[in-house]
Amino acid sequence: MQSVEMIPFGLLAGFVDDKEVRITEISTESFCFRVREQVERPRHIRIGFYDLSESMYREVELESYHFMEKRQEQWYVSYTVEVFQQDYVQAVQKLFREYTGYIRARIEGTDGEMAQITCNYPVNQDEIHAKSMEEQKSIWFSGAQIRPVVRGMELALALDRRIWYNLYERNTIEKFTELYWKENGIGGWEQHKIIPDRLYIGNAFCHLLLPGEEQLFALMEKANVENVGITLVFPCMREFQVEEMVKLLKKVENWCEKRQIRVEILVNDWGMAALVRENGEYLEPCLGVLLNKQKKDPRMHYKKGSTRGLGENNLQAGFYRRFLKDTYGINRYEWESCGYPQVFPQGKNSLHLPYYQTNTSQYCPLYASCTEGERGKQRLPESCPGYCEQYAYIYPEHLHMAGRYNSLFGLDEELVKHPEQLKAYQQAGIDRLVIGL
Amino acid sequence: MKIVAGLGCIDDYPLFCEAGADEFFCGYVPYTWTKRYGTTLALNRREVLCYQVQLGAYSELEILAGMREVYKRPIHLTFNSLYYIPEQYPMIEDIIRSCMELDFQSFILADPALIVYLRKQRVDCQIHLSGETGENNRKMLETFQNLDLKRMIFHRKNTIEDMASMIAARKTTGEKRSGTEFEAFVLNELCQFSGSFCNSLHCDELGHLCRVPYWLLPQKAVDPGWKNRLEVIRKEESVPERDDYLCGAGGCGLCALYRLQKAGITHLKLVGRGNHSEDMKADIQNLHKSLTILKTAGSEAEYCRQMKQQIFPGGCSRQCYYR
Repeated sequence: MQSVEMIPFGLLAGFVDDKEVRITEISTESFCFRVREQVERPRHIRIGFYDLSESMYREVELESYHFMEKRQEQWYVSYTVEVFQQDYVQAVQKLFREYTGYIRARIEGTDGEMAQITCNYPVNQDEIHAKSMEEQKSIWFSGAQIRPVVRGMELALALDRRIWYNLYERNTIEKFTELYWKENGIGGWEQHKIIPDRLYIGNAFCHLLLPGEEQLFALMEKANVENVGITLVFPCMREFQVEEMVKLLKKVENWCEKRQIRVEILVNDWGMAALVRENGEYLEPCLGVLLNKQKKDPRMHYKKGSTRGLGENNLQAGFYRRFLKDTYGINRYEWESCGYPQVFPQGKNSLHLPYYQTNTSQYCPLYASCTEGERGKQRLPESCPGYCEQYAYIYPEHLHMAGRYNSLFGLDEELVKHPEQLKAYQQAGIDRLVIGL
Repeated sequence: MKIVAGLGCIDDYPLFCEAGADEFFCGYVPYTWTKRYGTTLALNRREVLCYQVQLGAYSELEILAGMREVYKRPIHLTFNSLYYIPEQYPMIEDIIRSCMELDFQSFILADPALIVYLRKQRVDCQIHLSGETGENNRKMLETFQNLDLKRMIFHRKNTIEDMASMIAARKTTGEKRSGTEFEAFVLNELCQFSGSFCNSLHCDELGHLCRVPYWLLPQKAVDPGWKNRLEVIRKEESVPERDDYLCGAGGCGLCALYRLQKAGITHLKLVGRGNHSEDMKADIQNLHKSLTILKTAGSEAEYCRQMKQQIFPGGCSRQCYYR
């Protein structure tokens, strides 16, 4: 009789008179469970077997069983139960087969090979990739066109790195917009000269990619003159930056007061949110994508099992939105299109596209790769020559993802190919699109 | 500084106590939760079913409570997913209250909404702010401290200087913060990305996204000098791979203990739920040994010399938490 000890509770759950118990050993004939104190002969026993192929539990109610023995151990009492039921036998056999198969796949193969066995992940395509970021983008954006598919939504362009700061500084908003689309290989400018209503200036992920103070105010001044709304984007504030940020926010506040305009501050750190609240009558904080959490993964469609609640998050809870409003004055939430239907809460909601962040390091993997030859050997870069302007992490083509600066991003390819889907986002509560290329 | 070790199953508790662990953290995920949400919206950051990383049944918590009565080493339960959805908050409140009935009083949380909810519901538990929340600066700690937290767990990618500065700032912000404990990562699982900003899957069927194959390549399609430029920049060092046990092979901060203590760190996090029990036991013993050396070493250099001599006679992994 083959028996297996200590199968994880997630795969094999026991209930003795509705009390959750740990099954410590199981075979097709019997099983053992343990409890802290002695139990009376139970009226009913139920076992939940996790079916790895179906990604769901199958429960077996025991009707024909016999309490065989009881052992008093140092910390618990262990019971052995003999079972005489065919559905139990079949469930145990299936569990053994699947669990053993999983362990073998895990030990013998790579993550990708295991995923191929468990969820048909196409591991054989993992070696197919572009040879540069430029080539990657030309594959992604080939044939993409500007199309005015929605009306009534604000349009913003994200200026998140030097190339865009400089380009905007030197050009009118019309010329900049034209170049922004063209530089990224997106056509249609001649037919639809759509000028953004707003600019997002700054980088949500890396503190070394913010514009210098002088350039920042020059960009703000220019946007104000050109009648374009301003959202300043900040990444996590490191401890050593607190004083510097306090000063900067005060300057921004003064700048706004003089011109009697309000500027949005996109916060990606709770400390920054608190500073904005303390320092700015003219500053409107928005909840950045690093604080507005979602499950995001380009492999999501391979994921098995329940997807209940996948499109929701904590912002659907009214008490949390009230907390954000009362504590930080946050009324706008920044979202990313990430390849599955999302539910947006009451309030103001911006949708960033076509990229969505999946992973960010508060150090920098790219910096470590370039300087140490190993992505894991990270430290806080105090200054950086801009390795991300020269290099990127390229991923298997089928995953539609890339590593840019200190983060990994997926691409919502569906929205690039079918921008008409944005209408559904508008109906779902999005009032602003933020294009970041 | 106290050792806070991860616990993947209750059978390890006595073993790890005897090895020198002072406190523990572990996950408890009831069947009803997994049945409803699978691993997509998990209760904590171990989003798997096929591994021995959760305590499992409530009866296991009862047994563990009995062990704790003997060893007196506290156990903190992790409910540290980055977010939950509205219907889950009352469920978690019920789970936490049921754990509190067994005198599990402290919980490691990461979702600000959950902390707000529990305080609103007057759940009088101790809260440890998970390293998955992104403890980056004094203002962040201050704002969370208003929710009455017992401990702040610094995330993996903080410098010791920043941690010291944040801890020092508590002295100027009043009585409420003066009793706060501060925990830092010290062994194993040196992730490439920050937990707080890791939104990708880590489930049974799909491994970590950061382990998917990738290539460092140039931005420009035509850039003939890109490889040469990297060769000039890089300071590569090779450490031979080993199959046998090496303390901190997956991440190590033992060299930094002297500075962590000076910074005001009160607790050291030793992660590794799901690792072999014998490896975890050895990790705890090595950390304990390092702390013993630290007590008598007169300087950082002396501490490092003795610690390396005793724990890494054949060299360390060079997988440093604090470079």
